[in-house]
Amino acid sequence: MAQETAIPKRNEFPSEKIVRSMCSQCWNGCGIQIHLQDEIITKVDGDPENPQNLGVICAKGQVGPQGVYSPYRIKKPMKRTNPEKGLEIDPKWKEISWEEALSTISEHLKILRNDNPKKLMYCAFDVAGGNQAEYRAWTTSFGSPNYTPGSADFFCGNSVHTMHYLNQASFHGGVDFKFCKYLLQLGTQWGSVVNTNILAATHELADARASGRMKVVVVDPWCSFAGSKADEWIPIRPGTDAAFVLSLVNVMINELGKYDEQFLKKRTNAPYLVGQDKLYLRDAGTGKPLIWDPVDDLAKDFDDPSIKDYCLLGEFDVAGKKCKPGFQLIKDHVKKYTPEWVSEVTTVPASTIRKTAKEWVEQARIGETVEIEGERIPLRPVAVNWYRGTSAHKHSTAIGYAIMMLPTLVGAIDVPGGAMGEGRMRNESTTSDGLLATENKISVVQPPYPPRTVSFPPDSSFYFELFPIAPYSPVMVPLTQLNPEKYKLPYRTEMVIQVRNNFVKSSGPTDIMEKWIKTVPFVVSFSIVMDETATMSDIVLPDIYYLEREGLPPPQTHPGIEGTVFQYMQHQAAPPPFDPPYNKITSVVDILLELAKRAGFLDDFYNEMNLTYGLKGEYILKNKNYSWNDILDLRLKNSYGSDRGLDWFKKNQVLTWPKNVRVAYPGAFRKARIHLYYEFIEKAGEDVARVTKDNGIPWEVSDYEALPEWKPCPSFNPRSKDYDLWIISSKIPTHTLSGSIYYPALISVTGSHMFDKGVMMNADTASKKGIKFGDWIVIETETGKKARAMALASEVCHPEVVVCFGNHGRRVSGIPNAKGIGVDFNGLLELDEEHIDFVDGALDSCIRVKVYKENSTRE
Amino acid sequence: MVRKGMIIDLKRCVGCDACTVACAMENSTPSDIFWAPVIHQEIGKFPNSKVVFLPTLCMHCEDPPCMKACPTKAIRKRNDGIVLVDEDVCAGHGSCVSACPYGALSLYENQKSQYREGTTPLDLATKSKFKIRTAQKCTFNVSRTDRGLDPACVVACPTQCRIFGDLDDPDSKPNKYVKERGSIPLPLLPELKTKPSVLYLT
Repeated sequence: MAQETAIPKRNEFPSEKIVRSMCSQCWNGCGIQIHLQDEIITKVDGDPENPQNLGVICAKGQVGPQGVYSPYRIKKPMKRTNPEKGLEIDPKWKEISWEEALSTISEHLKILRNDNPKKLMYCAFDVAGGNQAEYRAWTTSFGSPNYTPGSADFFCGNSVHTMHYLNQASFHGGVDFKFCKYLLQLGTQWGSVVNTNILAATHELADARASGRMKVVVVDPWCSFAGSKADEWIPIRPGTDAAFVLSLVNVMINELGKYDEQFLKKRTNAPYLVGQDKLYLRDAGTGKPLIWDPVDDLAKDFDDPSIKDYCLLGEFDVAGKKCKPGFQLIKDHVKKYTPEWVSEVTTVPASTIRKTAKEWVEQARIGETVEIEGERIPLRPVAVNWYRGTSAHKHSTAIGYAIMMLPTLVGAIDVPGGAMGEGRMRNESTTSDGLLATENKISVVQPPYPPRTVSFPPDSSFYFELFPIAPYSPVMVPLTQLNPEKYKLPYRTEMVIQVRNNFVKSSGPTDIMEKWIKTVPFVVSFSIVMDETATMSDIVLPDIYYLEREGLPPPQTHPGIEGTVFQYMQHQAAPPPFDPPYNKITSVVDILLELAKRAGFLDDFYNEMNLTYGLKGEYILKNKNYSWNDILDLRLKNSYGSDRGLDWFKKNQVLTWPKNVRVAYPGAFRKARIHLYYEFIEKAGEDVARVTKDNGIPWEVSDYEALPEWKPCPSFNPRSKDYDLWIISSKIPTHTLSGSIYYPALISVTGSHMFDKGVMMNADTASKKGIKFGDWIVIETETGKKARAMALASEVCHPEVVVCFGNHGRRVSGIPNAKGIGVDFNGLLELDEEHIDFVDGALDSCIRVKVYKENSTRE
Repeated sequence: MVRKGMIIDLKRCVGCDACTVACAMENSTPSDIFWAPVIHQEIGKFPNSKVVFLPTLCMHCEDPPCMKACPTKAIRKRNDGIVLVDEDVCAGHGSCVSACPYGALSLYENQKSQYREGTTPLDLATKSKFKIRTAQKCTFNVSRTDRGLDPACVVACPTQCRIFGDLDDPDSKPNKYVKERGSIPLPLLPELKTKPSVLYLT
C-alpha cells in the first residue's frame, strides 16, 4: 500500500471550534455552523440539526469567511470632509473616533426631536436575524412613523404580501409539498435557491421531480433556473401576467364551468349581493351584506341561520335595487379575456391557456378530502406562487388580486396540498362583514383589509395615509420630496439612518435616488463596505458582520403538517474588529441604545420594546442600562421560560415544538370568509379620490377596482418602433440583493457562466439585428438611459426581451472588485407618476429598450 | 474491492453552484479555478428549449488518461480508485491537463490571494500549500472522505443530487439510491472507455 502515502495532507482544517448560528446573506436565515481555527473564521456550512434548511446552505451562505476578512470592510467611523455629494465624487473620508461619531449623531437627533421628529427616516432591510422590530421600535419611540424596510418595498411584494394577508392572514405564500400535485409559478424562481423558504423548497422540489409526483409550470419571459427544471415552461410577454391569469379564470368559470361551489358559497364573499355601485347591498337594519337564498327566494343577511342555500349566479331585485352576487359579476367581467384575445396580448397560445386552466381545475380535485389527525378536511393539491416579476408593474394591484382568484375559486386556501400561507400572523379576526382580517403590529408591512383611514396631510413621509390598502409606499419619498409643491409636502426628511440597505442602488432608479438623497442634510449609514448609499452619507459607522452578531428571528415552520415549529438564533462567532470598547457590541442595537440614551429617549425605547415583544413581569425593561445580549436574554425567558435564556440557546441553539392539523391547515377550520370579490377596494378608492380632490393633490385612482383588469404598462406604447424589446432582470442562485457582489468566489462563479458581462437575448432577434453571440451591445431606454453588455444570443429567451442578471452595475470605488460587473437594471428604470401604481405603491419594472452593436452607426 | 465514486442525479440538480463554491472554500482553490464547476448548456430551439445543468468534477477514471499522459508518473490511482496528483513528483509538464477529456485538471501558475489588495487573515489561516507549477484537481475531498465524512460538495448540495460512496458495495448509499430511483447511471463520454467513477442519472 505504498501509494497510500501519496495522499496530499493539505487543507486539513479540523475545526477547533464550531459556533451554531444563522445566516444573513439573504432573508431566509438558514441554520449554519461557523468553523473557527485559531480564532479565525475559516468555513461556514449548514447546521444538520436546524429544520429551517435541512443541513444545507447555498453558495452565498458559504462565502461568509471571505466577507469577514474583506479588505473593503469599514472598521472605523468616518465623516465626510467634501460637502459635495455624488456617486462618483470622492467624499474625502476622515476617520473619526466612535465618541465623535456618536456625539455628532446624538446632537442631530436631539435637535430634530425638538423640531419635528418625523423628519427622521430609518431604513433597514436587515431581515434574517436582523432587528426589524427593534429598528421600528427605536424610530417610533424617537417620534417618527418613518421606518421602512427600505429598498425592497419599491417592488418586492407590493401585490404579493397584500394578497396573502387578505386571504391567508400571512406574509407570503408557500407550497405544501406533502400533498401538492400542481404548482404554477409566475415571474418567480421559487425552489431554485432564490426567494423565500430557499433551501427547504429547493430540496422538496427536487424530491418531487425525482419521484415525478408533482407537475411544475413556470410562466416567465425566459427559461430561468426554475423554468429549466419545470415540467413546462410557458414563455410570456413581460407585463401581461394579469391577462393570462384572467383568461385562466374565464376558461374555468365560463368554458369548463368548474369551481368549488360549496367553498365559494360558504367560505367566501362570492354570494354577497353587489349593487350597481359595485358595493355590497346591505340590510337596512343590521347593515350586514346580503345574499340571495334560492330556496326561500329571499335576500338574507349573509350570516342568517335560516339560510338554506346561496345563489352564486343570477340577477335580483332587493327593495328596488338591482343586484348580482359577486360571483356573477366576476363571471361576466372575465368573459372578455378569451384565450384567443389574451393570446395576442401575452403571446401564449390559446391552446396553452385552455390546457393550463383545465389542468388547474382537474388537479384541484374539488370535493375530495383527506383525514389528518382524525380530522377529515379538504384536499386541494394545487398552488400558485408569484413575486417581483409579476408584481413590479404600473398596474400591479390587479395582478395580485387576479392571481389570488385561482386558488380561491377551487378552495385551495390553507388546506392540504393547496396554496399555503407562510409567516402567519398570530391574530386572525372576523369583521362585521364576516370576512377574514388580520393585523401586523411588529412590522411596518401592513395588510390591506380592512382598509386604513385616508387622511391629508400625511403623517408619514411615505404618504402612507393615502395608500389605505398598500403594504407599504416608500416609493413616494423621492417622488414627493423632489416635487414638494405638487404634493403639498408637509415636511422634508432631514436625517436618514440606514442599516445594510443601500437603497440608493437597490430601490428605485439610481439617478433619482442619488438626486433625492442629496436633498437630505444629514445621512448616517451603518455599512459593511463603502457601497452607493454609504458613499452618499455624512457619517459612516461600521456595520457588524452577521457572523459577529447576536440575533433572534421569529419562530419558523414550513408549510404543511410535517415537521415542527422551531426557534433558533444568530450567535456571535468572533468579535467585530472595532476599536474598544465597541468590539464588545453584538448588534447595531447596542449603538441604538447608546444613541437613545444620549438623545434622551431611552425610556421611550424600552417602553416600545416592552410593547413590541409583550414583555411581562420581571422581564420588563426599565431604569437600567441593558446591552443587546441582556435584552435577548429577557425576551427569550419571557417567551420560553426562565431556564431558556440566551445561555440555553447558545448551548442548544434549536428549540422545537409540535404543530397540529389546525396550525398546519387553518383554511380547513377558519370560520371567517375570504375575498373573491374585492369590494373594499372600491370603497378605499372612493376615500382616496375624495381626500386628494379636497386637498388638491394630483392622484391617480383609476386602479382602485373591485374587478381586476389587465392594463398595459406605459411601455406598451413606445415612442418609436425602434424600442422593440423589454429589458428584464432575473435573480441567480449565486447572488442576493445587492450585498453579495464583493465576494471573490461568487464573482468568479458568476463570471464562469458569463452572467457577469452578458445579457441574454433571443438568437433570432439578435440575428435580425446583426448581433452575434459575444458582441458588445448598447441597451438604451426610451429616455436615453444606457447600459453596455455582451450579447448572449440564446434559445431560452422570449423574442421580445433582453435579460440581465443580479443587482450589478456598481459605480462606487468602495468595492473595487465589483466594478464593471453586469448591468445596473434599476439604473434603467423611471420613477414618476406614469410608473407608479398608486394603489399598492409598486414601481414599474417594465422598460422598453433598443439594442445595437457598440460603435454601430445606428446610434 | 472498494471503488469510491459518486452518483449525480441530474433530475434533482438546479445548477445553483453550491457545490462549486463549497469545493472552492473547502480546498482554498485560487479564485479563478474551480475543481467542481457546473456547466450550463442550452438545448432545443425556442420555445421548446431549456438549460441543462451538469455538475462536473474529476471523474476518477478506472483508466485515467491523465495518469497515462504524465511523463513523471506523478498521477497515481489508489486502491480505492481515487486518482491523485503527487505534487512532490509533478514537474508541471501539463500533459495531464490536455490529456483529460473532462477538463478536470489545472496547472497552478501562482499563489493568488482572494483579494487583489493582498493577503487576508483568511488566506493565512487556510493557506493553501499547493506547489506552484504543479497540476491540481478534485481529490474526492480525501481529507474528509478518508475520515469517513462526505465530500464538501456533497454535504452542501441543496437538492442532495450527489451521492458519494463505494460503487462496488451493493448496499452503499449510491447503489441504494440508484436502485430506488430505478434508472441506470451513465458516465460522460463512454466511448473513450475511461470508465469514470462519477456516473449520472437523468
